[in-house]
Amino acid sequence: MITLYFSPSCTSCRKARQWLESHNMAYIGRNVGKEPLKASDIRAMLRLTEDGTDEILSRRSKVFSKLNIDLDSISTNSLIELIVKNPSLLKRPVIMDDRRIQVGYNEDEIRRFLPREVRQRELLRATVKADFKDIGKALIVEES
Amino acid sequence: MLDVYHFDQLLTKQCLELEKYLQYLIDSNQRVMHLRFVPVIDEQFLSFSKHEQIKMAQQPPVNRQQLAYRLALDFKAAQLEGNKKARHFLMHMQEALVAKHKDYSEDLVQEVAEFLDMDTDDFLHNRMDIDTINALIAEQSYVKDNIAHTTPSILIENYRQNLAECFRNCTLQDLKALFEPDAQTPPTNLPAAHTIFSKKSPKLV
Repeated sequence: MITLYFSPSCTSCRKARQWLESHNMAYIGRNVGKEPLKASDIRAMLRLTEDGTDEILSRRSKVFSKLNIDLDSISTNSLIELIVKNPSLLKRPVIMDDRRIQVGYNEDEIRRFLPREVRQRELLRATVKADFKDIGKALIVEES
Repeated sequence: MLDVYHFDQLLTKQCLELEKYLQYLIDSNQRVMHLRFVPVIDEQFLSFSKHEQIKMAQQPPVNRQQLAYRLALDFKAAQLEGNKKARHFLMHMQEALVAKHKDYSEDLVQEVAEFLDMDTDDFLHNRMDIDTINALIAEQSYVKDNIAHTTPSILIENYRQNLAECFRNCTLQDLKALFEPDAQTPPTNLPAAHTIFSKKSPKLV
């Protein structure tokens, strides 16, 4: 099952929600401002990243500057606890399932979450559409 | 963009070879891909109670199965610093245990973690943590559903072209033939390898 960590005010989060809903994808929405994050949530995210905390930590957030975090000296577990206490430190949206994670919204990459059968259907639809166009063109040529 | 999943049993020469090659592909920028290593542990560990799983994680491993379980937990704990670091940790550990026949010990684990500039204190704590055990066990149900414990298996997904293929009993030679078809390596176990790649360009990026 897909989990979407979001903030209602974030534009990319709204895009991600719209995309999931327009593709009839079941997902669990987690408003990070309302529902407290658990350390195990953050750990599950980190296990899917390529580069660890760098990928999920929002260095541009106000709270990051306010807390004056020294990333060279803070330990992984302390940083996890800090994100739990200050969810604004988390980049958003975070879209993940048990195999993959996407941080931020990217129209192309989010397609990784589409079930294979849905992607196959889309591919078939696109192929039929293209074939239909070709047939249509051929008919027009014949008529003229 | 490819998603590549490598399912394998630890402590084998072949597992180490495949991991090294897949890492080489990423490092040499020959392929844009997400690589994920998934350790496959002995099924008996799934039937143990949580208490037994924790107990075994805290005791020094006494046989090969327990050592593989211990190493898989180390890998899961290392993943908290990202998969890149975790893969390097695992390669160094397997190199020491499989190729150099060193004995597994906490000193060795610490030595490798320090060499890779990992957050050693937290890592040593996390490798015994219940959350790490839960993550490893939960992942095994995915393994069971998808590859039915045939290892090594390489699952390659090309989500842009909607292609996916799982290569079971995959060898290093198979992988080289798949990713570097121009190299003079004869394919051996790739009935549908070509389906992964674009018809226009065999070099998928």
